[in-house]
Amino acid sequence: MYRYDEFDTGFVNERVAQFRDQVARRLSGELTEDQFKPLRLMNGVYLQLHAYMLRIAIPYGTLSSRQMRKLAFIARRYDKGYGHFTTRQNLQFNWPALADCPDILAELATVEMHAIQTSGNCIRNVTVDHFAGAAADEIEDPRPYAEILRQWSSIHPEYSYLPRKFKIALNGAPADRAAIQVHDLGFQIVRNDKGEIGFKVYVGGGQGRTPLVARKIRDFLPKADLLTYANAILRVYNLEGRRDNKYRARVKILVDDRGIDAIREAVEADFSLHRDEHLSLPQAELDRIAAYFAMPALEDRPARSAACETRKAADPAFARFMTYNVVPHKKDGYGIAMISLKPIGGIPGDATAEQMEAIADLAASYSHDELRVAHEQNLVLPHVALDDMPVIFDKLVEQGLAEGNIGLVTDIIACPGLDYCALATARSIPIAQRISERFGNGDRAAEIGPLKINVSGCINACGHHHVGHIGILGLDKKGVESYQIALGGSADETCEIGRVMGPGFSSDEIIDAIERLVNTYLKLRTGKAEDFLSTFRRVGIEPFQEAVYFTGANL
Amino acid sequence: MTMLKVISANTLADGTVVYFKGEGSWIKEIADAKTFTLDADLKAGLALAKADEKHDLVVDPFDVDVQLSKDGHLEAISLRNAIRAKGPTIAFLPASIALRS
Repeated sequence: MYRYDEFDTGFVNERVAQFRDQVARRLSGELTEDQFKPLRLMNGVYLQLHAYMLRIAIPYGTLSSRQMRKLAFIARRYDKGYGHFTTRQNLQFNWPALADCPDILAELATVEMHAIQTSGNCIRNVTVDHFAGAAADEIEDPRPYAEILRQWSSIHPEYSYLPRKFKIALNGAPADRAAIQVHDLGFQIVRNDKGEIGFKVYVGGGQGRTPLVARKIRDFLPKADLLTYANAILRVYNLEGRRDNKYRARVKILVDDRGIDAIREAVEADFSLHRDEHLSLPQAELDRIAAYFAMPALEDRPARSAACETRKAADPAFARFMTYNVVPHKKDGYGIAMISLKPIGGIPGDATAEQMEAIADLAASYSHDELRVAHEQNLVLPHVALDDMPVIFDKLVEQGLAEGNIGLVTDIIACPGLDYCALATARSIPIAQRISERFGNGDRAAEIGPLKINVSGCINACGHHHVGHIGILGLDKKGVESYQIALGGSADETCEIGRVMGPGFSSDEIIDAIERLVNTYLKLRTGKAEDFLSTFRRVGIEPFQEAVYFTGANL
Repeated sequence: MTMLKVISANTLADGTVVYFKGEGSWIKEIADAKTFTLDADLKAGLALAKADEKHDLVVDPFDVDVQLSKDGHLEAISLRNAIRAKGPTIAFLPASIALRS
């Protein structure tokens, strides 16, 4: 894993000291709320419905067990004993006192963590594929490039006051697990005809009130030009992006208004002008940073684990865990184990301090001290010997985190919604919990197959409802919660924004509506091999509208 | 229909939801909040609340529509303000902490 250098350590400690002073001045009345608010946001501190909320950056979703234990310590000492993993691979604490925030940041700094650039109109925490460096299908590990972008973008003076926030994601395998096409800037690692590795570049994607799939701006960008090209895009956006209307200020609006060809022309012109200047990446530097992310030394093992196979044959729950939560690793005899933070009826993304510590122990004992946070609000043990899967499963059972449901109907993304969030218009967590309970039978969920249900509590779309196979958006209709359904969204390499199905449903109606959609899919599919999204793409929205609006209870 | 409102805010120190009781006095229970039935009184109440903001007791005071429940207690009308008054509608506390509290 990457470790801070002297600059990072000094800088983060300096920021903690600055924020400690700013908080003291706010509490003493020296600073007004208007003066203080932008300062606290620059340090990840929001004021939500019931309390302050602290959002902590987990750069490219990578955590060591020591860092996870620190998060558990903070949860217990300064919060209410739990934390919430978000759809941007971050962690949020929902109840910190303002006066404690500097101490929390100081604790984080001891394990090379911080809350910088988790808010505000800057380049936000860079995200990557959560299987980076481990996945069997990977072309190259995207984390070194994410780290280079982190170093470059941290308190970048030119990009600290952009028109709006700017989110960058990278993906290293043909399967897009980082949702790069719904980011402001997405880098897909590719291999060209000459066998060289570089990036396909996407710009102008995003969700929120104006959901747009990113446009491809470049087919192949050499690695050395990563920063020069990112800089060119940022310069064009910083100069041309709208600042008069925050709802029209994201780069996606600029790309949509001007057209990708005009944006490409402007970016390429800037890129040509500044190529081979100071932002070019020397191979030696790329190699130096890549070395920090080298795969741990994994001893050779047989591709097939007898211990694992024996347990699978005897234990259906373990077999389901292996089927849905474990994916192929680069090295034979190993797997990537996903820990579902979606227990049946649970709160998506929440983990207690005890669970965090147990997971840290698992990482230390069985995954070479590495953990990942997935943007789907799950955790990952990236380097696990197949022989160790049974014991990991047993320990997860003890923590209530052994559900084998990754990618299934109960693996629901949900934002905090109106239970916590000052921006929300409706609750999202209770909807996710009720859907999870409705489909909680593991055999039924397995029979339904891959199905992503995403729930957002407002149009800002933190719950990624636009790219759920079934997306649910909670709105406030004259003081009453109303849930709008969109179908056919996808955040993978076939990225699409879901189509709104029709009028919304009350909180009482929404779960039955989802079940009718699922049952309709089961009737329409050509076989189990055709998943929900494939069926939707084949038959279109009409049969689903028919089933939900014109049959049964809605007649 | 007669207006019935209370004034709410979050405390500066820890963000706790509080309700205006009188100048410099904020309480956690909506049921015990000072009520306003006249625009002029509400304006005066908000002015006092804003003064408390300047004295760094609270952040962002605002008025909340309330009604009397069947058992005669004040309750917020909108779901958002009801959730602010009562807390999250979900069992969010870890079992170990929920048991202690």
